[in-house]
Amino acid sequence: MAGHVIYDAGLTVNGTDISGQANQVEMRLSRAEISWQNYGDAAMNKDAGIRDEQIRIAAVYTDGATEAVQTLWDLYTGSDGGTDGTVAVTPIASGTTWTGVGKIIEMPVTVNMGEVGAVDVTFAIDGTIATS
Amino acid sequence: MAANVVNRETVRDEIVGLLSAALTGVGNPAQAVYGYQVADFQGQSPVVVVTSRGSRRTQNTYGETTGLTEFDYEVHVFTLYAEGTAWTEANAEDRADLLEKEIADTIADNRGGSAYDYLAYADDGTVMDAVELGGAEYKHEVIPIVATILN
Repeated sequence: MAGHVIYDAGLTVNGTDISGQANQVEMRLSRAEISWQNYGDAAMNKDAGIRDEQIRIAAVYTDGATEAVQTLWDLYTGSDGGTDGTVAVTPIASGTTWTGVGKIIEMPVTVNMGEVGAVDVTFAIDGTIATS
Repeated sequence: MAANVVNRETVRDEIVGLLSAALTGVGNPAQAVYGYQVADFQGQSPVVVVTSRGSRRTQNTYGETTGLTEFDYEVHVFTLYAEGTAWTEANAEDRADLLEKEIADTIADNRGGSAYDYLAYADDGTVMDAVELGGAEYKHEVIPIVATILN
């Protein structure tokens, strides 16, 4: 299977297409590491625990009611610790879509002099990321 | 959606308009501003010429037709070295320095424009070898500038 250079990934948040402003997506798939020992064992026993997943999105900072920053800001500032967002990522056109639902737990906004502004958000996924 | 990127000429024309308004006319330091290379200034001095040097076009989002564009331009400052006793080498040096200041002021006053999002010096200015145009010898300085467009 040939590799793909990613250039037109699909990315929606609650159905809003923000792929035109986004330039990086990272799906952090991890499980807790469980270690234990029995009396007399020479080394630790290891196992993988429950899943703990995040989706991180980086986008350019553009102003306007329909822009990515506003969409993300609305979720971040929602009542009760923010509003759930459904994030759907399709890295390769017509390929697998990765979907997770969660709240934004980090949203640094960077505005460096002489550069394009950037926003970087992390969704803590409630449950697990699914593929379809 | 079919791509429709920014034409470098559109930005150059805007820069030429800004420099022309700031540098020419009564009480201003240049006699003419051109947006293209001129073979013979017909005795005009000082003269400022803006030329295109190159482009960088980068896709910076997943939107295939959007990107970050940087246009490089050169601002050439030509100042007549000397002409009898009315215009001396010292006058030429002073005027070249004044023009560099006025160009920097114009850029600072117009960081954001209509056809571009950011305008700045790209690198150090360089005084070149003297150049002869139309039989007259000109002091020649090149100031590299860059215009950034997010589209």
